Amino acid sequence: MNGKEIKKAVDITARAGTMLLRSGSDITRVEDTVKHMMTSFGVTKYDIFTITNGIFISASADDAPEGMGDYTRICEIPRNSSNLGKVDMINTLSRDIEAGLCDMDGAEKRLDEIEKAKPYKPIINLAAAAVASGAFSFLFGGSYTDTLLAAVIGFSYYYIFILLDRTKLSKLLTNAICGCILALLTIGFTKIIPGVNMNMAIIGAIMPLIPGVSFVNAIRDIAAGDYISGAIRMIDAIVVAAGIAVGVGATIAVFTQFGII
Amino acid sequence: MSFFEILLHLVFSFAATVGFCIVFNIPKKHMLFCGLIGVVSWGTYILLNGPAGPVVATFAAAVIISLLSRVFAIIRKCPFTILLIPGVIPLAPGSAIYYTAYYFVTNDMAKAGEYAFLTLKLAFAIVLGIIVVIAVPIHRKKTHKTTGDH
Repeated sequence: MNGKEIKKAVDITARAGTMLLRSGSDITRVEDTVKHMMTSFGVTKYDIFTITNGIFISASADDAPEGMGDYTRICEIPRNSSNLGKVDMINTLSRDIEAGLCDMDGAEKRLDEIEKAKPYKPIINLAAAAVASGAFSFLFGGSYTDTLLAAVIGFSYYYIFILLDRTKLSKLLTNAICGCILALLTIGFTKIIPGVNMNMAIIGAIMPLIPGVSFVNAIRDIAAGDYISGAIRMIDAIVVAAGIAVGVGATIAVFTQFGII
Repeated sequence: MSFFEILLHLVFSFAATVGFCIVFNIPKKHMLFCGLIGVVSWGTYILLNGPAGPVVATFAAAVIISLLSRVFAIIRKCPFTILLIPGVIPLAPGSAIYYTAYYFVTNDMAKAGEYAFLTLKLAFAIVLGIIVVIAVPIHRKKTHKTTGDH
């Protein structure tokens, strides 16, 4: 392979790797995808180094003189989200490339399409958060009233979560604010509607904030021996959980202090 | 628990898991399988919660859904985590975290400590359950030349 082709291969794999990390993939998957793509593109000498918020890829041309002709890309991924649909699409692309169904130009086009793929609409997200909140309230022992209340609260505060998530506010603060709002709403409704168990409604409503993707990826990275990435993910999960606890806890503390609940 | 209650629990665990699939942007074609794994996860949990306690129930559920996710991932040719993550959510110690914070701010330190340790135990049960399954390798890793080789 000549230098130009090497550059193209590294650019495409770096882009795929960046998108995977940004969408909430584990490190093993990113490295495997890059390796499969590189091998299928015909690159024989390459290095990959990946951590949760960065990817480094380097490859060298066959015809280059010693110590020359290496091409390297470094990509930063400052913030991860959870868009597992994109992880699935890139996984399919990687399989197609390995099966020889897709060359470098085809891969670039497919990556463009994946980048443009739209997530579910906010209103569907809100409905999903409402269903999840209500269902979890029931599963953890809530009555039918608690279930309904948790669904209403899940629907209302998740809108604020979506808005806050778009800003560059820190995760700790975002989750603390959401926790505070959902606790306020629940306490308000408990005062109006008689016979509601406040604890059950709050437990159901906090579930959509639970950092499931970070937690599972942390376990997977640590199991695969990527300890630094695993630690980053685990701290991410702990920060989010702490944010929820601080938001909900502080609100309840204030109301208890004044003897309202 | 009566039969009707168990049925309701299974239906609600399916709904909750599918709700999470949308929150995590999982494509529609995988949702049915994610929902099934969620049902198995919660079903195992409520089955074992009575006789064995929440920690053992969580561990067993984590092992079973990790196995199931691996099998489905191979059959459906999709990433293993897509199937596993929504299924793990019903096991997440959300209520234990909440009660820790609740008893902490209402100054009941004995109960706060109890729930804090329960949170840790449940989290470790999930971690161990998943690791037991994913630590078994299926693929043999191919080696390649690095840029340092000549």
